[in-house]
Amino acid sequence: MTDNFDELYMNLRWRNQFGNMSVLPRHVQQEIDCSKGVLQRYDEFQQQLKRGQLNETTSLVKFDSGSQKSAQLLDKVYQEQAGSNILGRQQQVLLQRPDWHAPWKLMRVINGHRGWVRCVKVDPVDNEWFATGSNDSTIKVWDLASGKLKVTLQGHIMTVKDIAISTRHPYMFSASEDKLVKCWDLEKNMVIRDFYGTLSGVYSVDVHPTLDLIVSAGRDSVVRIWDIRSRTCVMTLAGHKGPINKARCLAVDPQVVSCSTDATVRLWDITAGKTIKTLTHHKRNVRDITFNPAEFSFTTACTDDIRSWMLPKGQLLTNFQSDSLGIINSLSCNQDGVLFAGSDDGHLSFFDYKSGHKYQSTQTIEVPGSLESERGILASCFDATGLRLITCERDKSIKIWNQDADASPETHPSLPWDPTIVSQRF
Amino acid sequence: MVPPSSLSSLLPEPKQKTKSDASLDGYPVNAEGQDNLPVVGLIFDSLQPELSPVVSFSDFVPLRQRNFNMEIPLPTQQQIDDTNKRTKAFFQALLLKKSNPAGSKIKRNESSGNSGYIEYRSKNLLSANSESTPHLIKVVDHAADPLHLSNFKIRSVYAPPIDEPPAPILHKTDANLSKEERQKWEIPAAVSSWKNPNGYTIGLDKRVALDARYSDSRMGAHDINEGFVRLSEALGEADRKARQELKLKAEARKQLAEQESKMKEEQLRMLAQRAKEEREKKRAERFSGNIIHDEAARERAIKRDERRKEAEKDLNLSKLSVVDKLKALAHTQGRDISEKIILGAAKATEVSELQYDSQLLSRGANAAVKRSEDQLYDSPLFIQEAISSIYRPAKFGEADNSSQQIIESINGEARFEELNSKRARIESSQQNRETPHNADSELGKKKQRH
Repeated sequence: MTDNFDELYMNLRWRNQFGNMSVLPRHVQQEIDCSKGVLQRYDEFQQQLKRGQLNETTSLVKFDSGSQKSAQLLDKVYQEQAGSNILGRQQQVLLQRPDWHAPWKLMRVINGHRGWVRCVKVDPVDNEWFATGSNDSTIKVWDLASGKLKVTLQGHIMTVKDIAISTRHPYMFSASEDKLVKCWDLEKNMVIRDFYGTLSGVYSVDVHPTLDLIVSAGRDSVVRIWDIRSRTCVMTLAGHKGPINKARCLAVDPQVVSCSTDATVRLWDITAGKTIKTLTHHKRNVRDITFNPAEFSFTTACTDDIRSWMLPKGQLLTNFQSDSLGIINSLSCNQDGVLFAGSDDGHLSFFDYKSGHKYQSTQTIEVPGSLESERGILASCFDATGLRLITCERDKSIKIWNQDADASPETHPSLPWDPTIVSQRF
Repeated sequence: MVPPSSLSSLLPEPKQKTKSDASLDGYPVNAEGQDNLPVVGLIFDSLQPELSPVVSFSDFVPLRQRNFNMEIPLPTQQQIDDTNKRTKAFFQALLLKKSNPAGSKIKRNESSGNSGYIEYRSKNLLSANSESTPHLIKVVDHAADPLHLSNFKIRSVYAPPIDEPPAPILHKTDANLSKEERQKWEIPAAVSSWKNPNGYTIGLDKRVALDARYSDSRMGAHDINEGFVRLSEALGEADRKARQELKLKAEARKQLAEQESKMKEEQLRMLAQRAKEEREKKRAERFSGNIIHDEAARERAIKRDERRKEAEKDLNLSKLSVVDKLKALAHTQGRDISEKIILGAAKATEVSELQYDSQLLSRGANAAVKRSEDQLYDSPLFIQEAISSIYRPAKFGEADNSSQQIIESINGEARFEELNSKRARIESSQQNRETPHNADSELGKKKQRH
């Protein structure tokens, strides 16, 4: 025992006195490392592994190469699929190169609404005009090229929350907080149908691309499917546990996708009247859905969290670099793989759709005469060509943005791309 | 990062324990071989409670991290057409069903107006033998206004309950708040110290809680610094001393003032004494100058003086008016009588009826009890008659010259008796002429006389 104590004491003294000398300073170590050969380095790596010093990975599961148990677990998870463990995935992520996109700049500011502008849709047929709905309960139709007001549609008595323009009829549908969905005839500029029966404010409306149906959803937390001709509510899709922010239609299953304040996104089977899948990855109020026009996927956003999903099953596709974005009110996607996210505090963020890389972040400038706190993007929309972005803002203005034509990757490099495996969020 | 065991904590609690495979059928299982996707198995099977939603690790891993250049083609026209066909057929059927539901038939006017007749035979109980009398009863449907609003209020049921297996929650829920944190967020119920229309009993603790004066920090034990105690004691002592000093000073000043006043009095008295002595000396000198020797002459002179004084007094009295005479008389008799009573102008208030003390008539002993809400005092300040006399013009015209008039009348009573009576007659005739009614009546009288 005494020998043992002696030895312990010696060790302790030695470590206290000369411990700092056992490790070389970093810059010296680096120089020594540089002069080492490949084989030498591999040997050191192996030794480190044995000692268990390589624990500082950001891996989800603690990886212990020596242990039989963890190897079994890995086998079970990945079913012996080579290269798809965490390290493999990290390498894959590092290999990804996001596309370069030209930065966006403000092109035009349109004033005219007397309240917050809440929604916007571009004419899907000719791409010549766009319509905006506002808190002043009007819908205004503007010329896209010149930005001039074409017509003001009055009929709602409360905020117009959403607009849908049909590609197959000369109809426009508008949803309002006054519990009504109105059908406007764009040839006569008149209301021709009212869809009664919603119990509370309607927040969203969309036209079915191939059928004579419209889908509305709102505060009463059910999605309603209406027959356009007979004005009857054909089906009610219940399942959300909170007000529904957006409901969107697709031509194939799932034909309705809705997102709600209960932090879920639901894909609906409208022939069965049931939810196909509930996406519960989001933590908070999911405020917007946008479909990618170039591929069969869609994107949803909640506070600080944008994710894209593969259709038709709804698997997670990408986590966007969307930390610290704040409340995201609006999402838009164009054909070139640009995803736009408009924040509640007036920040515009542009993402590369495929990689989830945020390549540009700017802020709107409030219209002279409005407060700085009135910066805020409420709705957005790309035009049919995807070259112009229309944003509706809290300062009652509509802003049109386009890409800088002179920009090149050299002159306008995008924001740095440093992917982390941490991009799997919970 | 999250260790794998915490994934199971993301799952909701199992709702029911009974196992039924049928309910799992429609459930999306993530393992799949199609679409060239990596086949991913389920993990933590043994950890999962029965019938809880199936979660796999792949749910958390973005697909593009595994296969970056994955192509996701848009639906083909064929797919769209197929879906369209299927959905269209379904919705057409649904619409048809909706437009005329199976249960309801179109009610025609005739059917609703169709009235049936019922023959009703009542048995007459009193006359057992007699035949029952038949009654014909017509049954008519109650006409309902089709446009009338429904009597049943549409209850806005938000988020109707649905029968659906619970979805796995794939995000981290915020950690449960601790009790302290929850208490921090608790907002006390609004309790007003001024309004309580329903008269609820409000607990003392609630009252204390809502009163800012009695916050927790203040209600705690008071730790008063020793210095404060000493300071307050010292202040009290200083105060007492100052008061005492002031008192002494005031007393001294008072004594000084008394002494001074005494001195002055003394001086004055001395002066008066000296003046008196001087006057005595002078008089003595005068008397010593012309001494009346005759005793009788002296007596006569005194008497003469007295008589002269009396005559002067009488003269003065005769010059006085009646009022002054009476006053003087009263004064001599030692009585103090006001002018009005002397002149007979003040009379006792004439009260036709008997007067009672109002307090005697009031109920019971407590006369001070109020009889109505408007009553401020327990007894009226004026009796009703007195009020009526107060607000009438005085009988003697203006109060100031009333006494003069009276004096005049007293003076000239005897002399102008005839004149007064004549004037009265003229006035009365004038009055009669003024009012047409009176004139008429007089005319009537004259006619009667004629």
